[in-house]
Amino acid sequence: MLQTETLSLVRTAPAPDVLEEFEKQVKTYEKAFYHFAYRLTGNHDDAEDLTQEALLKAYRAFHRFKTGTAFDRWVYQIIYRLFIDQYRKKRRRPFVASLDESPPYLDQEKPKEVPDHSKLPEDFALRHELGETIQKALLRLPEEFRAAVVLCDVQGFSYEEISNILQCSLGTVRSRIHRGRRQLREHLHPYLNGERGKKQ
Amino acid sequence: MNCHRVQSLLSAYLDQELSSEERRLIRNHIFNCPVCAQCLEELSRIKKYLGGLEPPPPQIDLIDHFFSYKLHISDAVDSNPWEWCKRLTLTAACIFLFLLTSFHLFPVTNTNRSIAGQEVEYHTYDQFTTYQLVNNEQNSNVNFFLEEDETEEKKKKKKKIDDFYLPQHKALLPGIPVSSR
Repeated sequence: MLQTETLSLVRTAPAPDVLEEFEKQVKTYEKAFYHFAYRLTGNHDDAEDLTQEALLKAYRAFHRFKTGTAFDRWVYQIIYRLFIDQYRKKRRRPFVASLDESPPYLDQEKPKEVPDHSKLPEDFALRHELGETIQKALLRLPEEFRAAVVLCDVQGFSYEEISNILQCSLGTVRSRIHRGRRQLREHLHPYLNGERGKKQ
Repeated sequence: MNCHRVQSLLSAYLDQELSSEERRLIRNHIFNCPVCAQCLEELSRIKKYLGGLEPPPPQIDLIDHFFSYKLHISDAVDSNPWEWCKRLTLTAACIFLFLLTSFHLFPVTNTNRSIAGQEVEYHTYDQFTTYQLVNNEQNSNVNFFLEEDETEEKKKKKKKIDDFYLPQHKALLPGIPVSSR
């Protein structure tokens, strides 16, 4: 499947300068793309698949990309649409689990390799735990709210840019971010209170 | 501004997406309302947490893998025209197999050919006029009564014949045991 897709795109766009340009653009934003995909999907495997598939789509449609417009926003849009499509497909497909195999979430709960910027192990543990908690709370949001909140708070886009990426009106963006944050506040409420208790 | 309205605008206030007038109103309200102030504080903390999330490193070298794999495939295709020859021969073989099996399963015999060659006769009806319609209807009614009469006559005839040929006394005569018959 993947091979045939790759072959078809190679035949349509074989020019090396296009590939070079595309590679240059992608390498500028690669971390941000992956970060966005990870925050949407919540695990590394899906995030990698999502990023690669989105980049493949982007490369196939690169001739339609207008130079001078923002490349990252264009790719974010592709990632978001792909994610929504996949999510809908997943929701239609019933979950099938084997009784003999170990549950899949046990594999995902292995500690991920995170670069240690701080020298203190306490700091590292606290940040790791906070990140996990926030990611779990994010996954409990509806996917439209999640995308809007991540684009606003994690990627730092303005409401207008988000409305371009998500292809919806400014009012919708505003309400999605507001409702997303309100739900996050409900999910993280014990955590927020605990933090405050520690500080006091 | 009441608390409900202020709380619905707090997110936009945090992101500095409100007009200066709205900002001023909200600032005034927060100064006097501890509930909304706490809400703002929690929202800003959430925003800070989200902003402080570090990008996770991909488990494989994602971008390099993507480009090297794609380039590798493209090189292989450009230098190897046999790829397409193989595909064409495979397609041709599939079509040949399909035709072979279909001819084997549904062979053309003489009976099949004669059935296929038969002309189908379609019943065509003449166009009716109103007079004809009425007339036909009457005729059909008359025919119906005639048919009824005919069947009655036939029944009578049959009865007569039966009466003539069959013996008058169908009942068993006394003195003859049933088992011996």
